[in-house]
Amino acid sequence: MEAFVILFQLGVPVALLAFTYVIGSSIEKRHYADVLAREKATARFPVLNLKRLPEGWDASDGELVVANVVISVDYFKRFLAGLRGLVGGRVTSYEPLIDRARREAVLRAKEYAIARGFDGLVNLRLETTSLAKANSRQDLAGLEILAYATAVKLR
Amino acid sequence: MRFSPRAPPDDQNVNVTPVHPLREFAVLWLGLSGVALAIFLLLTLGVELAVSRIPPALEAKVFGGILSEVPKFSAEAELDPQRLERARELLDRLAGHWPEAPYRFRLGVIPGDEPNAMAVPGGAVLVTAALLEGAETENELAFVLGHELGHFRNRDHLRRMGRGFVLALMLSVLSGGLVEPSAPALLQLVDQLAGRTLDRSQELEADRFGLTLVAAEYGHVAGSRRFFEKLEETRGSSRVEAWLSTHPATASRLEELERFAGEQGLSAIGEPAPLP
Amino acid sequence: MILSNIEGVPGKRVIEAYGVVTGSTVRAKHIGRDFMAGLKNIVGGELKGYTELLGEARQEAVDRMVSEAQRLGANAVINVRFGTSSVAQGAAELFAYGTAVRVE
Repeated sequence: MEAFVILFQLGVPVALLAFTYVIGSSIEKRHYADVLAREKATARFPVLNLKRLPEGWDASDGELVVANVVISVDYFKRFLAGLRGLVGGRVTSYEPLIDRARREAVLRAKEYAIARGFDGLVNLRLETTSLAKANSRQDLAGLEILAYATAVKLR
Repeated sequence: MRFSPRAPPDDQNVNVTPVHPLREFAVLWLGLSGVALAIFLLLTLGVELAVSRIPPALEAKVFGGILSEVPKFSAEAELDPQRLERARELLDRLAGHWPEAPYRFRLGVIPGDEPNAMAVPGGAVLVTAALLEGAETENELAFVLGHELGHFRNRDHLRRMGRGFVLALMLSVLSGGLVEPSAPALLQLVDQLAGRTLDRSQELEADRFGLTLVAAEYGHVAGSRRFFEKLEETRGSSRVEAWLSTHPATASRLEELERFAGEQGLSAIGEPAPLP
Repeated sequence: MILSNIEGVPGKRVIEAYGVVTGSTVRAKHIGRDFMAGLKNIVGGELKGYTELLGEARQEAVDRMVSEAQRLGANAVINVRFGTSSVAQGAAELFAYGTAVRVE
């Protein structure tokens, strides 16, 4: 009987890992496909992180555009990061997450500007904030990526 | 400055390391487990060395406080006070036959449906209420108490605690730090596992000491095997159970005891004393 | 690859701009550094282990950004900015971004 209790206690985390891995990776695949499609669609829309405008650009209007994304980390990724925290090195499980989030934030800013008839984004800036859970100092509740730029209308 | 939008080709994402997460998981986990196992073995060795060096006087000082904690979760109230008194007195009598005993032993009762007994650092012998209630003769109880005294003699209780601590640390590390080392569920699990690692021969050694104490007290060892016979009746010692449980299979224990008794010339003839 | 964090490269002319490039990395320190840092936090002073670690990570982020710029055919990245945040206990995320351009 005791053996079953122990197996159960070990089996739950393993099952959780397997489950969240499967679900997490499917969500990730879908999001990446979505991000790539939208990037292709908006590829012609200029985004620069410079303040000065390219030649031939005669800006008549400018407006601050702010877009953000908050992402959460699934159990499997967090577990891998925990193991990495012992060994050190690149936390490869977080890389695709942050990459997706950043591209998503920039896309949102782009799409916002496009929807309002602007012609380009200049002086793009990116910020990341990590949100801690209320009850624990070190547990991550989510990661916020902020993308802001000035959208310009050209004559 | 002209602006001509360009996008890098899709084939490669420079910000993501092209490693499959499952592979990363396997490598990290197996690697860490290997390291953990090595450290565990080293620490277990360390525990063995330490146990033989900790003087009982120090142990009594450090853990003596536990004895006063026992009444808090004790189930004494439900027991027949006469029986409890006799049990306490019995423990003292048995300890009397071990003059070099470095502890002051005390009996504590904990709730439990199955008859069980434990040796706790500091000199406390904990028995479940079921054990006291189910004992038919004094000799039977004497054997169980003597067995626990045998564990104290071999410092087995310290080993168990030391290994438990090491295991808790290892498991906490292996879980990637997700499980706190002090989580009660972990401590329970770890205590069970540590109990299993105790050598079968340590249990048999404790059996032998228990038998010698009983013989010294009563002049014979009749009635002590009754405990095992009851165990066999209720559980029917199957091989699988024996492997899983902390104690070696009852049948082999009985055999060993009879062989030992024969060797030592301990008489099995005598009238077992009744309990109140 | 020329890098600068002003809007151009001194002494050169910016001919063409291709877009924003980013490089990011997430690095964790190993448990040994953690332990040393814990000790250092008692006595104070520079945490050399961490300085090293974050320096390496930042270099990696820059390298990634540069390789993306190369794939665009740029020969310089201007207006480079850095960002950092902590994403897990003992792990930091670093990113660098700038505009990939061709200068001459």
